[in-house]
Amino acid sequence: MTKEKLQELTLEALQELANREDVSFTPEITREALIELILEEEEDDKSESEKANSEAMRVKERKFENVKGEAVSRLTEYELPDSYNETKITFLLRDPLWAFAYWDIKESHIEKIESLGEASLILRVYQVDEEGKGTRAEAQPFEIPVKLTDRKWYINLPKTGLKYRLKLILRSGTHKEVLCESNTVESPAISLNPAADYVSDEQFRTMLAVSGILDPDDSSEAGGIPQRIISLLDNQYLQIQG
Amino acid sequence: MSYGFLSIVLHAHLPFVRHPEFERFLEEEWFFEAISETYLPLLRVFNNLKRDKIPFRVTLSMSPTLTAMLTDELLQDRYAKYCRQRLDLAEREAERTAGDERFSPLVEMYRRLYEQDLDDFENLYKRNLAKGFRAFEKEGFLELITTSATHCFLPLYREYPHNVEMQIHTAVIAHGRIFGSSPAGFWLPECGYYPGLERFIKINGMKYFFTAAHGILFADHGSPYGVYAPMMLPNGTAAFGRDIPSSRAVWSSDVGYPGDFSYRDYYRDIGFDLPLDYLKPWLPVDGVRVNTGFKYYSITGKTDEKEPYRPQEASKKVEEHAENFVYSRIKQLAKLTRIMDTPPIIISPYDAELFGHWWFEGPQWLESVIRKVCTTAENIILATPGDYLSKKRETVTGTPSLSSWGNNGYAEVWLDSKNDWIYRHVHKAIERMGELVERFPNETGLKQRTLNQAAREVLLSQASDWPFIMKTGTAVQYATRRIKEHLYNFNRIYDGLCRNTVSTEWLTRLEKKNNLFCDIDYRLFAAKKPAEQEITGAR
Repeated sequence: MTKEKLQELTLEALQELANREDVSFTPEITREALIELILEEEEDDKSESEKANSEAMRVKERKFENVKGEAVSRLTEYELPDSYNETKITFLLRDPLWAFAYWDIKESHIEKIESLGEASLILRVYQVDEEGKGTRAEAQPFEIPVKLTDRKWYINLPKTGLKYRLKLILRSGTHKEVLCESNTVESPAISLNPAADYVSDEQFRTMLAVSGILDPDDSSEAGGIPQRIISLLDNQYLQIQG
Repeated sequence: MSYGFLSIVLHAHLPFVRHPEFERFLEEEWFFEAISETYLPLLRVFNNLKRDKIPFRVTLSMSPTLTAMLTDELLQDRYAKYCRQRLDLAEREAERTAGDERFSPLVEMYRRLYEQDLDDFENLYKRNLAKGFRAFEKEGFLELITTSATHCFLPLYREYPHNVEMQIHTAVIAHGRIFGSSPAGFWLPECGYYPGLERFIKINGMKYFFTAAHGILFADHGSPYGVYAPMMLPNGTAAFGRDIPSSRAVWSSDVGYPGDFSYRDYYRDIGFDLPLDYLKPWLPVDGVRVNTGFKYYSITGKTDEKEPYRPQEASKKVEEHAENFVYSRIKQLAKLTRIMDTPPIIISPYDAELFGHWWFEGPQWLESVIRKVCTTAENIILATPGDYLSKKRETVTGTPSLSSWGNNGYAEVWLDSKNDWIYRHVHKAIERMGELVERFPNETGLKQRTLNQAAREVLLSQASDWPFIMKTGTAVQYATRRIKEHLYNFNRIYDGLCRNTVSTEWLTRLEKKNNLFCDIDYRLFAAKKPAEQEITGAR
């Protein structure tokens, strides 16, 4: 929020905003001091968020930055439905190791769950084969307990380069019922194919050096090339497991 | 003689922001700033090069939302007014800084810039900058390409292939209407690629697209050429990978050219330095400080004590940096030609708005780079991807990996705790749009208009800019309300059609407001529903 807009707020409204933004202040604080604290907090948040942004994103941000701080919009804010009254789960891939699930549960299912008393919900994450049909025998699914009120979850995928699917399961005592099953997401493999069919390893290393990815004189870097590619794009390292 | 190609790709995009319901609107100024600081300066660069008979070739991606705004009468009127207001401000600033030899020459510089902007806009381009860019395409200087209709980050819509096709098809139709040509290539918004996306690029008549470097480097088949030759996909489309060193040289504010201390500081603007009362006539919203475009300081260093901007010193740096960029690319190509059996091509893609808007001297640098490559440098040829593909060359077949040029290379900018709430609603709107097409497959008249507007609203809700803004925190309230508004409009039509109660007056108002894609065809939203997901039964 801009300084001018903050100055229009009452001390109570400022205190409420400061609490929301985790700004610590003493009860005796003056309006002006509280405004400064809120602005500092917003500036810190922004600077943290900017540091995490890739170069392309930092430049893009400038396109939408004709004010400093958050401007109040004059548009009407419409409400969206809380639920579409359907039992459905959707799986979206965020990056090779994280996926996001959102789901909805229709009223009749909620009533049924509530009537069961001790019932709980779990997300079962499992791998699927190339055709996306059935689970792989060797792959152990894992389960995440979620609350009846939860409607989304970020899931850490165990390995890259595999396909995953979710089931939303109602558990009551020993009884389990699959409420719905998601689409399949495919985590990309993060590996550099050295194109051995085409060129020598040395030529390929030269190619990577020209690409700015590899120091041609340092063979010890070879194992970290995929991470290095990502870090060059973003100043950060992607933690790659598996 | 060994040689290689340099391909400069500029991606020009802004989301559709048009508010006839307000006399002035803060966020419309994103567009006005970009016209003054980027699009008109770029057209001047192209004109200078043409005047001097420099045979340049540059690829320019223009998003359909941007071209819709560039050709919109209301926004054209408002831009002309914006320019005149800047000239008023220049006059006032000239009085305020009279006799101050540090700042009055800078005021004069801005006065001349806005005067030229207004003159070019009104007289040279008759208010239609899209035509200006088209003229350069016709004359063989530009390769104009398109991107998805509302700049949707496509990997997050992978489960809705008909929606992806709608985004791409609508963009190609809009491009044809505005430019009278078919785009040869496609700019994937945020370089967001997923395997299979190429199908829609091909069926819409385009030959190539761009990916982030790791899209090619992590492809299913390794290429001996890395990102320096296109990867041919099994369906015949070509993927060009972004070159990391040339991107970093320009993008990076730390190690890149734009961070040089002599260049103009983007952040220090009189809109934040001078008293509010003084600025009042030039503020779109009372009491809210904004960038005015009048910036008098150089970057100077990592200090708040900024030195006044000296354009001549900055120009010297522009020449040095252009020289360095071309020299580095020549060296890069020389190394590549020694290990490649096909001519290498360096793909250097940038957001167009980087030039001029953020990096004030950017257009001047670009002009200098192009002149040096075209007139003095040997062994380096400026070419577009279309030029490269027009000759038969050695290629490698493969499918790139899922990738983007966002943080950490994937979707985390557009799918984050600050913006993830949007997907359940936008996806639902896509499904419902599919239902509407099934129920009303062949409507005409008012019902067709209603369905077409519903399709526009669904597309507008998918702009990648809104989740981006929510993540980065620049205009969160506006971005949130925009998505909600489009979804509300869509849901109102959906519910209204179910009950046959859509108000014609409301619809007409909405059509006049969100008036892009006049030739949209809602039928293309015909959905093959995502696999039936709801199942029951004990396990």
